[in-house]
Amino acid sequence: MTALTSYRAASHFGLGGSRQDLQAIGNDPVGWVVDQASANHSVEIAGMPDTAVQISRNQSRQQARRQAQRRMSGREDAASVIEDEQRRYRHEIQDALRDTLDLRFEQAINTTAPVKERLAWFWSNHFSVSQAGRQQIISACASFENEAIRSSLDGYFAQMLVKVVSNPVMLLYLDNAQSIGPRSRVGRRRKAGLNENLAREVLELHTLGADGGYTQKDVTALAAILTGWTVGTPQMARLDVKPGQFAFVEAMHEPGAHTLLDKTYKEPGAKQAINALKDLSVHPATARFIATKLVRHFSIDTPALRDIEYLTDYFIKSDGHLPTVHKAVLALTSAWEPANKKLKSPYELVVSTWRGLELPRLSTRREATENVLGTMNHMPFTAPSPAGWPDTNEYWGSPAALKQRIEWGVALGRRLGNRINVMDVASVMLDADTEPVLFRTISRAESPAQGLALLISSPQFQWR
Amino acid sequence: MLSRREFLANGTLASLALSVPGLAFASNKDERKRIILLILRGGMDGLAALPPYADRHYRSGRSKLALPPPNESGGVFDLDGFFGLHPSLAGLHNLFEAGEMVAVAGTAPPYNGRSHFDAQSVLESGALEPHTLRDGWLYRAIETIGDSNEFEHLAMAFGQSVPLVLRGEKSVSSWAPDKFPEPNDDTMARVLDLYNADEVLGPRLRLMMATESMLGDEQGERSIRRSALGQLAESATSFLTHAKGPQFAVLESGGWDTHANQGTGAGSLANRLTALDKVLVKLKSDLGPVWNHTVVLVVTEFGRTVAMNGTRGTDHGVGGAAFLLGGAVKGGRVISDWPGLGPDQLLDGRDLRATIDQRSIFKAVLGEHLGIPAELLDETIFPNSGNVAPLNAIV
Repeated sequence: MTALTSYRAASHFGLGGSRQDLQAIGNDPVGWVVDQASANHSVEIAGMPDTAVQISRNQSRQQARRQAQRRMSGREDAASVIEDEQRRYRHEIQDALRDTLDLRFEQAINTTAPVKERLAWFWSNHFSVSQAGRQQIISACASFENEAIRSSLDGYFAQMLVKVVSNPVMLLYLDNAQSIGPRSRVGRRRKAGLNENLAREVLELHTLGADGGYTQKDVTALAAILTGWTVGTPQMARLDVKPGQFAFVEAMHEPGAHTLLDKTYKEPGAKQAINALKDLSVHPATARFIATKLVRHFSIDTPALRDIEYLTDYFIKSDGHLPTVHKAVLALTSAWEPANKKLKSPYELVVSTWRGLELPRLSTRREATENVLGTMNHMPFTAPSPAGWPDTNEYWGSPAALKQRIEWGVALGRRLGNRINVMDVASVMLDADTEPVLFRTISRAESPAQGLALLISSPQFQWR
Repeated sequence: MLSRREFLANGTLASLALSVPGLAFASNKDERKRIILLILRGGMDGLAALPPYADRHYRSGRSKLALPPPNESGGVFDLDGFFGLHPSLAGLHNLFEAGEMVAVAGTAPPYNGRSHFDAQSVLESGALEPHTLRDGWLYRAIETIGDSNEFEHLAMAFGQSVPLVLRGEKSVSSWAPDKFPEPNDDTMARVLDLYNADEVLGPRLRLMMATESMLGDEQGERSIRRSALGQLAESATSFLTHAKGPQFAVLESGGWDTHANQGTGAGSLANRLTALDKVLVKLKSDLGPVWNHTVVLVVTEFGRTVAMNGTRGTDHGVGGAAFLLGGAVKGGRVISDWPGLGPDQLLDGRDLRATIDQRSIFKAVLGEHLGIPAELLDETIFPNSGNVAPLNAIV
């Protein structure tokens, strides 16, 4: 193998060229990449708090606030006391959020399995959740990713799907926690009803895809099937349901049989939805939808039909066995084709910068990172819609966004240029063999600050 | 070393450069037509924004989401005795009274599948099927009237990325707020050298540099807070009122997907509508005389279910609402072919039907405001749309 493919292994499949990755790759770039699809590597994040712990803490904060409002009502200083409490509460949440995002970020910088880390991000974006404006799940999204996605990369898609859909963060994010079967016990008593948000997105975004051949009837049926899949609250203690945890509540579940995609599900309890999700997970439309997205991520924005069909076939024949599917896409010829380039997302840009620069101080990274990710609209778990962020060069590479990327490179150069040897890091962060002009430009920079700015801003570093 | 502006004017970018220092405001003689397209993403609840309060099924159909009639406290603003405006839309109501606002009821893109992403694709591409065209209808419209050398400066997207409606073979310019220090001219020149060799990114970066030179340094470095619609609208007006500014601006606003606890006269949806109302009112005052030649189109990908769902919100529906504003609009009217809210009048027993194809609004604006001929509208801009007539004399 040539140096070109070693660099591509690290940059295109991994999270950017770095000293440690190029050493690990040695003479076997394809082997290094493909092995990471196996169970030999884990990208679960140690020390990430449980979703249940975080959600129940957020629930009790909200409850405490309501109680304070009742207790204080009529008192003159009520507004200021409550305002103080609110501020404290906001700070606590922001701290908790920042801790989880730091853990996730440090994992990305330090992992020895950057290809698997990328796969985790792919699925995390596929099953996108957003904390924006949602008090209950704020700070729990990285935990959701850890529990439902990072831990499911070595199994079947069905298992991942069930873990995702039953996770409290997803149930709250897409409103299923409050969806109630109209003919269920609770539904009849409270005249409450369905919320079809989660059911629709499971069909459209998580499994079959928008042209997967389902109808409004199927959406309604899956919504009914999913009723009762909810999240415990302090008020539900008498039902023996723990706050912040997944719960199946029979009293909210729409009774009877429901027909989804011409199959009737009669099972009692939570089993009904599990079986429906399992069937959806191996549907040919699901296989094709996921194959298309994977090829788009690893090969090119407009995937070749034969690549899609090849990968779809792997998905179907393996019943959605993820390591098998991952290996197949990682070994695709078109994914290794140097002409097939993807623009790094802002998060990828930042992570590949820190992996290459090897600067150990968290505070430096955190400061520089929050700034760029906030500005470029890529703070984790703030995707604009449940579809996640688009995975295309067009989306990330608008004229204004390019300018911001360059400005970030320049700002970074000013701050860090004097602390590193630019030509050393350039030799691992860029493809030394194919970019003589770029190396010459960097070596002739007027200052180390400008040299680093040119490295980070260069189109070669913006592509992967 | 050349300054960036000299650099732009001198060579590589001479064809794109707009070497006017600082801001040059459009003069009163500037009668170029402007279009501002505001896309509300997520599906604005048209029955809340533009409630048909006199439909005999309105109150029963909307139940707890129904707003009080005009004569009651917290009631809707009456428009024509049948339709009203949400009480948060006081500014829009004033524009309506002043004859500068048209409301369209029961409209949607030609699609009723209730998917955000497909509906937005149809709305923006102008195609009948989602994800079949890779360029947008506004892009194609501008292509038919623009000089190809100037094309990039005719239209701008405000926000982090260029939305599909403005995407096409060539990049149009975009503007997003700046938070980082401006690179010095020497560094920027070297960076541009690197980008010149990149076929994809090079042209986009050059375009951005040319766009920036339009604003001048003071404006360019003004920090504009990201993603808040008001801030984007503010920067859009500075560009639109510039003597060499764009004629077309696209803005986006999120947060309209009100599945839970949307509220009625007050609440989360009311807050969004209030913010929207303020932006639109400010747009008029900031545009000054340019307002007289402007049409502002406010559209969304679909309406929402008539009935409240199980979580005091609404799910994805079909027929929605749209607004047209501006000095160039013959306003003070609600346009509808009202399908009714009765149980047997609804699509699939749940949604307001769309009886006005959204393309007929776009066609009216492009045809009457810009003078684009019908055959281009029917074939190039909205393929196979000969059967969709422009809404009668909107502009």
